[in-house]
Amino acid sequence: MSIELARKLIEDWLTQRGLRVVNKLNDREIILTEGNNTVYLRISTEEFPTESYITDELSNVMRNRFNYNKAYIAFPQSVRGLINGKLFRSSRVGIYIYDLSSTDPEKAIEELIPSIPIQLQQGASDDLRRKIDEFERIINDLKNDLLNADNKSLVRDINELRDRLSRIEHELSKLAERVSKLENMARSSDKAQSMSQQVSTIVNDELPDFLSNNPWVNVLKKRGGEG
Amino acid sequence: MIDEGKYKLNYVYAEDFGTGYFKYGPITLRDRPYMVQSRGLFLRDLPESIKLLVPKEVLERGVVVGDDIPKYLSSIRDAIRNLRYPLRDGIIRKEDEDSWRIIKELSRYGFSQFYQDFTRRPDFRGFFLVVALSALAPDYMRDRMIEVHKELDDELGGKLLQAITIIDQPFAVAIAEKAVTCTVIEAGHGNIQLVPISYGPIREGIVALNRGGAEANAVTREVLKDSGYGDLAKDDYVVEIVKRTAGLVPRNLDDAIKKAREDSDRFSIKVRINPLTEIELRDTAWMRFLIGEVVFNPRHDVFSSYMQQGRLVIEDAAIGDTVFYGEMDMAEALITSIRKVPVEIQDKIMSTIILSGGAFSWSVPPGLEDVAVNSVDKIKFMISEKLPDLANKLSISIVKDPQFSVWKGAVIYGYALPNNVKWNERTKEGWYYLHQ
Repeated sequence: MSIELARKLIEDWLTQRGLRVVNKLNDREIILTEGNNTVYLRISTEEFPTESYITDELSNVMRNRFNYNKAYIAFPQSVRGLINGKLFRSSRVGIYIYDLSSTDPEKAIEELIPSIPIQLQQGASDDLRRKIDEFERIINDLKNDLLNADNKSLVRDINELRDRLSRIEHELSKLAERVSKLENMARSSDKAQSMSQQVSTIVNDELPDFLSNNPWVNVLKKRGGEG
Repeated sequence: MIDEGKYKLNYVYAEDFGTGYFKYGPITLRDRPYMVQSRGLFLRDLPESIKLLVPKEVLERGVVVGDDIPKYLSSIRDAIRNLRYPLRDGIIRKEDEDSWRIIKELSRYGFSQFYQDFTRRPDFRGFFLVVALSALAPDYMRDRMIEVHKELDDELGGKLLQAITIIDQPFAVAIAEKAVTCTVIEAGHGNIQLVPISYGPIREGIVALNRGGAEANAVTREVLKDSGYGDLAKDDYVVEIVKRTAGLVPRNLDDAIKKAREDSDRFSIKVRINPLTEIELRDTAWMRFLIGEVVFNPRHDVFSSYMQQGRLVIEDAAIGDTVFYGEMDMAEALITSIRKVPVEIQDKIMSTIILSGGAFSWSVPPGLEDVAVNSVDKIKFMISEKLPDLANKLSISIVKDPQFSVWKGAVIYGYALPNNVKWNERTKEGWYYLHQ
């Protein structure tokens, strides 16, 4: 249960320093806010980490790094000697070190490397806002035209608008589908097993390589009285 | 009626209960099964505060395996007592209920990763399950394995399994290696099994040795103590790494020791455990050869002296009707095994010898080729010393895929063994149908 304990310890420590938990993606990933910054935190509980494990953890964080202003990984004490500080600084990912055996909650956490904040990419939401603005302008134009337009052109405009709306809805539902797909992929990517499980359960109609040209297949089949 | 061959191309499932790792999965994984360590953690001494956080059904079962172990390990007060390796010797005693509970959990853990996907398929009528066990497993172990899987199938409404069969691990190796007549020598952690095979295992020819990787670990521990690393010698992880990195198999132990004592620089080695811990064997570099030798021949004076001092225990043991020889060397064991099979097939059986299992994975570092050998050459050399004529006739090879060959062989067996071969109580072979 060390993940529960570690998360509680780290959350308390961060809360005392003015950070606020806004979302828990799962039991290892938390989103916090610190002033205007959003902060991503990943908690690692591996008791016997290796350098490659730490790099894996970093690459997991980097996948979503541009969605948050700051990002941290909290490692247990045992990683202290294994950290490549240059790599973390250049990736702008910070490190907390926690010690579950410490009796003083204040000293149980240490900010080993601070995370350098980055400007978030606003592209997607800007695009959406622009679309909404355009939509608003159309509605306003429509309102203005309502008084001096004849009924026929009004109907035509409404129909056109309806078409455009349904196109936007269609686009939106496609986007939502893609987002949820991406979310699922991200969730399952650190569980390599469950990924390969999908591969494993594909219906199979061919002999695996190790079954073909194996004399035992015929030897064993004869046991049932077959030729 | 679904075609038998087509059905089995999707729904054969194999479990290999190895001493170190449990390998499992359906035939659709092709040649890479999933694996977890063959161990389980009992949730006996959990603090009350932690118990509240454990899912109810996990708490009721009281034992966890696989990825769940690290989650709970730090909360268990007496981890050494509660973390158990049920298959250390390949055999589970009848009354060892703790180990049987772990077996059931390992199996449940494996199925839980596939069951939901497979039950969604309209043609799924339950897996044909092949369980691979040590050739030395007594009959009660085979019966109990069927019981354990029956219970799991019942828990899932009888939809998990259609039929179960059991196969000897060395037999599975022979199948995976496509050898119809051969001798398989399976060297595991706790014991070594020599099994002659001719269209099936020849039970009267089986020879068992009561040593394996564990004895190489015990010798490594003594080497560490003699080299001044008594504190690290207690750590199984350190011992395993030093064994794998520093252990050598000598062509001839006396020659190797002589050369290594004369030129310790050439044989010295530094083993880096982690950035803080490094082990150096320099004055004791000659002892590297003891680590590998003990698997093949523990009769040398050095080992006798260890045994007299109580630092190493290698002795005969009897489990059921099988005698596990402690000190019998590998060449003698092979000759004994071949002599036990009918004379007319002895030639064929000895012509192909297949080595499998972790205790045979020894490498030869560059520059030490004059004294160190791999397992294949070691056995050839040992036999040629005893029976030079026989050595020329032998073709010895080591399995290409030592970790997975048993699982692969078990899958092939499950695919090829016809459905109408019913379970035979006497021979413990054939399909045991659960719902007929």
